[in-house]
Amino acid sequence: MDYKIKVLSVCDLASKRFKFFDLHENYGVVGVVEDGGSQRLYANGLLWAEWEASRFPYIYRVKWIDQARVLLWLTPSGSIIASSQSVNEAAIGFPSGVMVSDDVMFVMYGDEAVMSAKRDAYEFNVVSAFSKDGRFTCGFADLAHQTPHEGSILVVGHYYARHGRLTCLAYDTEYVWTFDPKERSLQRILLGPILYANVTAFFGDEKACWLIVEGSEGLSAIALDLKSGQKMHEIADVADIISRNGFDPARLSFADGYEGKMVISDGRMAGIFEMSA
Amino acid sequence: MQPTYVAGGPQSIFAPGRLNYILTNHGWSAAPTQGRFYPQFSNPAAITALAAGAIAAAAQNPALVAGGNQPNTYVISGTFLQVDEASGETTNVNVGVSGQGLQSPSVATATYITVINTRQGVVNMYPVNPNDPSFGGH
Repeated sequence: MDYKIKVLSVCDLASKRFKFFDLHENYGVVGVVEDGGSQRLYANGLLWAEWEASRFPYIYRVKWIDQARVLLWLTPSGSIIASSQSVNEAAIGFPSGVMVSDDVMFVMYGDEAVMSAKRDAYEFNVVSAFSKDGRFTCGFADLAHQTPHEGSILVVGHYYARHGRLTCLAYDTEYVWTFDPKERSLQRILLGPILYANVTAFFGDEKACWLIVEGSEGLSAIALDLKSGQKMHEIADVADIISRNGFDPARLSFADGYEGKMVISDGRMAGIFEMSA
Repeated sequence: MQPTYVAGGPQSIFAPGRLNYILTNHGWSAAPTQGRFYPQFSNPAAITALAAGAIAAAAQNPALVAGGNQPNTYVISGTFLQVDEASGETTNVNVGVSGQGLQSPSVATATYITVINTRQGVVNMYPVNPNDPSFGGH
């Protein structure tokens, strides 16, 4: 079977001095610049908001909610929603990751937050699904606890979302999980011999997931069929393929994109990549 | 002779990949929002020794072990101590710093959590603030 790699968008980072940023195919680039004692939020070159750095000393991530709003975390209350008009607290717990797809906002929590969470806390769910206006709809762990599986679920650290469904890897289990909060369903396939700790990036679509895996020979990309769990493709030295698009292969970092795509950066530039099986 | 532990080996207290997970996510090079072990503890031998120490302490004092909030997990809350063999006095030795941006301040700490899965052995470890309410502090 053949596979395709598409570069959908490339953004120059070198001139922007972002401390952290997010890139969306349609919404553009948003990022925070720290300058002296202040932090400034820029969306597509426009200053949206500014605050004293001491107000949110541990803020480190931003994600688009829609074209007019972004979510930033961590803050003393967990997270904030910012737009060009306002900055407001969001009551979604203390996120380690956020992914928006259709009208669902998936909020992931770190392993420490999960393990110390009380039963009624959002963090207890490992992943909580919210509507985009912040209303809780469904918890991943609630469904997982009803689904027979090996291992324990401490964190979901690799994920992508398409059409309101989250496909993810959960440590410490050996499955690829698909979480559909609208249908309140959870499905899984065996991940096979790939170890969670070796996975560097994870993305895909409804048919297949792609795993970028760190090995002794460098980065390879493996596609798994989401119905059968069978390996569909394995591409050695994927860093070489990415570097053909101008990226420095020695400085690659991967972040979760939207609708199953991945964001690749080398510190100077960032791009949205899509692979299809 | 001290036993040696190799991840996934016959004497291992870590199933394959778990030690790597802990070092990646709670070693010194992890994000500061995570509880992180100091560089001198961020290696397989030191993490294995801390895990073995926690398990040995829990075997002697079952009160150190609590059921985890996720199915099939147990949590050992331990403190790394140095014993003066001449006097018998014990001193807390900080193993790392607790995570930034959590509900309790980030502090240098001798207290660390060891999470055990009933089938996979040790699956997670991280330094914590001993005064964090979620760990029985106040």
